[in-house]
Amino acid sequence: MFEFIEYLTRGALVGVTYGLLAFPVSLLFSTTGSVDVALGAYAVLAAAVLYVIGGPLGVIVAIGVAVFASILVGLISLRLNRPGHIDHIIAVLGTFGLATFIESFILTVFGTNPMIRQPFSTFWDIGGIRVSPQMGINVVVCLAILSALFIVLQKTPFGRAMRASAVNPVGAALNGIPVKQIWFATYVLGGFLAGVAGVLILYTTGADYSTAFNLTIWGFGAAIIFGMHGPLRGFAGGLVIGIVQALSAGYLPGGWATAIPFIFIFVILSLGRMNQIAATGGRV
Amino acid sequence: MTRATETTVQSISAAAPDTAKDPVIACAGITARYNRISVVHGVDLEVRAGELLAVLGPNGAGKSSMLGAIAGIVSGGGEVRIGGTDIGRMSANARAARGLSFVPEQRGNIFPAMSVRENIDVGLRLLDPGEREAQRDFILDMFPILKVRDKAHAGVLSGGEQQMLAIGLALGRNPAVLVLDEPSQGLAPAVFDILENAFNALKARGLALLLAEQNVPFASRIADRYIILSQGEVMRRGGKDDLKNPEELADVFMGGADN
Repeated sequence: MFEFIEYLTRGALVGVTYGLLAFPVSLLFSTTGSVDVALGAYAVLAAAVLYVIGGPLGVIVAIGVAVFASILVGLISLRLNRPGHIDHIIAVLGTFGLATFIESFILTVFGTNPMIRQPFSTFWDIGGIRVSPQMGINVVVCLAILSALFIVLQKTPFGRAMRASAVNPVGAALNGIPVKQIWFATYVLGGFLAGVAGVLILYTTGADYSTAFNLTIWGFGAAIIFGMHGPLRGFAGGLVIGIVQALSAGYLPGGWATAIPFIFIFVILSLGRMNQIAATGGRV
Repeated sequence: MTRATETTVQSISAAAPDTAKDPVIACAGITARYNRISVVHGVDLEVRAGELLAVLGPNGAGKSSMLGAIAGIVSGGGEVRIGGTDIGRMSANARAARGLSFVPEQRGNIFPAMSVRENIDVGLRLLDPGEREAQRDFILDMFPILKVRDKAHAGVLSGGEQQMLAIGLALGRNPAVLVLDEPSQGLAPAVFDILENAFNALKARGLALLLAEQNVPFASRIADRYIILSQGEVMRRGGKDDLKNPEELADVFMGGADN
């Protein structure tokens, strides 16, 4: 029983990072109807840059690089689509291409070695469970960012404009909202959050060049479990994905541990969750 | 709000309506197309302050496409001058910021998942903060039901209430020109009176109104002039005298271009 609780705790602590990645997935989907497959690549790129530079400067540069990559994707998306004339497949393929490019870049420059930093040598003892203080930092950072974003979305004119663009892009344009700029801002926000997630991942579980796609899938899975409706649901979804991962790693052979979270996401999709999302334009 | 729009709005609000003045909106050679299929072929029209121009015509005449092209949400061409400035090549949101408000068919400018208050807030966002409360009061005085339904989601309002919200939303930025596509469509007759009063109040305030309608009797109650579109071209123009006989006018366009 103690072992089970330990897995639950560790899984939830890792899952907060997936919750951070789930936010831009749901926000971008509901705003533009598209998915940025490169989100995980931004995170790994940020982790790689921080791994090399290190320190507070490294954190700033790492997040900056992730934002820069997302700016490229945002510009490409603006070029490809405009309100009322959208081809989501082209936009998704564009982000897939950039994700592949970033993975190849990381592989070429940083090689196949795992990148990880352990800033703390001491651990907290919570009811007999040893937890790195970094996990506590992750939880605080994720909750602070998601709370701030939630307030911005619900209480500010910019947030209202973003929600209006998500619900009715043509109507938003008729109300003077620069919808394309809002879309662009959403891509950039996704890059920022993925950059922060990358920093936290480097200090927690580490990453290598091949982690990018997994992170995108886990962020996507976290976003769809409870519906692509808001950051809190995505955050809760992130916890679930983290827990499934931890239980799989704890109780199943190594090969299955990687596969189970994906199978879990497929099960969620097969239950009709995605159909519901598609039918409602992401507003479930 | 841009300085140019402010100037337009201030001058319109301050001056008594005078339909002999220069037009607030002047459109020349308006075209509309879907991909390569052209549906509106070079329409000219203008509307002065305090005036309502009705665009009449049967289904498929090109009324909605023309208004969409003027508002910037349907591909097309031609000049759209507001206060002398051609905004015909601008995006829809830039046109809205320069004083052109469009209420599409089926209230397509509202946000069903947001509350009535939030919807109106979206409409007010282009105004200077100091002007917003006065404009909100103006909208809610015109449509008091919106004050009662303040917290309700727009998606649960009745058709008439949604239409009032759509117009209120469009008025949020104190536009120089209000363009409406089939505002009476699917509404109860009781709502017609509310809309008629609202349009008269807006004309008295000096707005230029451009409105597409299939309901000729309703259009004849509110319009000062009209044009009839058929197959994307103007087949007839006229004024108040013709509008006194809406049945005859309806016969003209129901009979098509042969009349």
